[in-house]
Amino acid sequence: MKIRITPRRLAVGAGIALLGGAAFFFLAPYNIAASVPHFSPVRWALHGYMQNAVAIRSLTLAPPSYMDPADPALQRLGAGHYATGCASCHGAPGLPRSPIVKGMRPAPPPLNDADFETEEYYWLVRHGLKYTGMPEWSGAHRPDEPWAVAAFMSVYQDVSEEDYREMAFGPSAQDGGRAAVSFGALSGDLSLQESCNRCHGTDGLGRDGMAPKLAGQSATYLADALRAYRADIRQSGFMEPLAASLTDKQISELASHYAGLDGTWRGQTLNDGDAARGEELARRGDEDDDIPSCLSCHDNERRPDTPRITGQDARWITIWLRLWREEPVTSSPGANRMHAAARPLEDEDIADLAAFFAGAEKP
Amino acid sequence: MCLPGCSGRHYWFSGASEEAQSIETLAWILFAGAGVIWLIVMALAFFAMRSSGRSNTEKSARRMILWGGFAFPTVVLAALLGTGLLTLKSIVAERSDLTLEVEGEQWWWRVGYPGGVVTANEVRLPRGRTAEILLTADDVIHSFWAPALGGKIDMIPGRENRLTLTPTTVGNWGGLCAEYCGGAHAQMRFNVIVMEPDAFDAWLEDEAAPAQPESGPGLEAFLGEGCGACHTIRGTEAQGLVGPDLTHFGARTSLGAGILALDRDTLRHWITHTDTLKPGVKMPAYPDIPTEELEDMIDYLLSLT
Repeated sequence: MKIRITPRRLAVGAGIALLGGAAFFFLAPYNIAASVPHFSPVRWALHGYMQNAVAIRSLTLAPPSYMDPADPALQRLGAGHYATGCASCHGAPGLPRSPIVKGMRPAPPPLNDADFETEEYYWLVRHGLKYTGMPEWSGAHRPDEPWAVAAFMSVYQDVSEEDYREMAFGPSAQDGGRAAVSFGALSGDLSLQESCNRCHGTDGLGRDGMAPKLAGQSATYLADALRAYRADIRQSGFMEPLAASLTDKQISELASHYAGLDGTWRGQTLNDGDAARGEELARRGDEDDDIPSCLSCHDNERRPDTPRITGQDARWITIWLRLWREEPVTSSPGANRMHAAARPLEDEDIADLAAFFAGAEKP
Repeated sequence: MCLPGCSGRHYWFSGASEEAQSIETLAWILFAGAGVIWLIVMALAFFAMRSSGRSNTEKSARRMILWGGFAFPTVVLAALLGTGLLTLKSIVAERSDLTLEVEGEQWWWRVGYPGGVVTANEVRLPRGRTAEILLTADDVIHSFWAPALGGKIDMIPGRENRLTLTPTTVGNWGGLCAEYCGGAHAQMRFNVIVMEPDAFDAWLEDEAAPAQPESGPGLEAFLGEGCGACHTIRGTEAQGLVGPDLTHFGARTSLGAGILALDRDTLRHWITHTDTLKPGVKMPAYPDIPTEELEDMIDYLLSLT
């Protein structure tokens, strides 16, 4: 039998489809209640599509040279953020999920037997997943940060409960003794100061390159930075969730605490970069490439409120110079100047500067 | 003629240097010759229209083409080429009394004199002496053009072009970039100040000296804001290489590469709204300098004569 398609039949068909669609939309027969599991073909299709999408979209990803997923410090940084942002829903090594999240549909899976590549974890952490409750990375324009969480996830299955506590909370402040992760508690039962110490260390020196050194930095600068994180002006998926709840009083207390610590620094270098050329750039700049000298501003003898970078770890100098090169990062009046200064830098210049600043003594 | 290029400090026929005068002479020869040829062609066309139907013989037509279409243009063009080359030879002097280096940057001019004197956006030349100007560029192709003095030569990164000028008329002549070089190309100007030789020597001696004064609240403000990252003031800690040397900034006649007269108000506006005055400029604006500090800084910069 042959059905001829006429305009009339086409119109009738379209009308029926429209009516059917409208009926589906208004009568809502598919049960979206989380209490009823997905119809299994639907679950299969959604989950399979998600896995394909993650695999395809992470094909071309690779960590930058200054973010080595095998670096224990990077894994510890990821573990620290995992405790803040991920454990609430996914549980943690040795710590089961809260009963509340088990009622989500889809429920955030425990990650003990998750099977993703490091790059796939990065993609998931950076972009999140629609229709699941998995959020995107909260620091806009910070493609560097999710590599830390991906680094932690790449070893997650080999991490014991004790290791996890040590990685995420540091040797001195243990968030221990609980049977499951309490939902919604960002950093467990830690005090505010302990929460900061997780990454920045009790001595404010950044726990072996996990986080920037804060000891002895200017209190004005530290408070400005915290306020900018709180207001979502300065971007960081690590800092913003913690800064969001701070009061002005807490900010000024934290700032004076770190400003008062002993600021004798020596940074960790990366394997590349020519420190001698970095020093020349930092002190004199370069005429042909229009690079201004760094130390004309970052001289803390003359300008105590300027962030100190001498002795900061090479990774942080690299990350921040690359961020500054792209755009003015914060609301501070110096933002345009820092962008103007970083704009002419090539990757090689950044590596040289990082090698110099990380290796230099406190000015 | 009421075009801006036809009078004043940018006028092509000002004849403010020997080289410009040679080129001017050549231009008049060209105009006159072109006028004569035009008249001859018009006259021939007129006769051709008026002549009766009598046709040319093949022989006379052939002769006409040979003489009028081949021999005459060859002779005229060869003579013109010869004159042009001779003029060119005469204006590229064998010897010079003074050598300058001018480097085009986006969007200003770095000017260097013998003895380590570096200034910006102002080329001072002594009247009656031959100056050789070595032209290069830092980033993209620029072109050095001071119409009244006759020079217009491209500045090419990685290459050094030479221009010689022997100024004959004292004055403040205008110069500009004559090759599109980016957004603020039209705001890339300079002054050519032709001085009496004695005055020039005195000026060069002053320029070679370090900054006066070498301290004060204005300098502290200048260093405190980090201006020394880009600017040099010889004799102080400010040793930046990116922007114009400001050692004798107060002695200059203009601001922002020839786009503004230099005074307190324009300087204040320049520091606080740099990007508004010259879009895309590398110098970031400093809108938040405390008023007192800013005024001290302006006092200091204007005192650098």
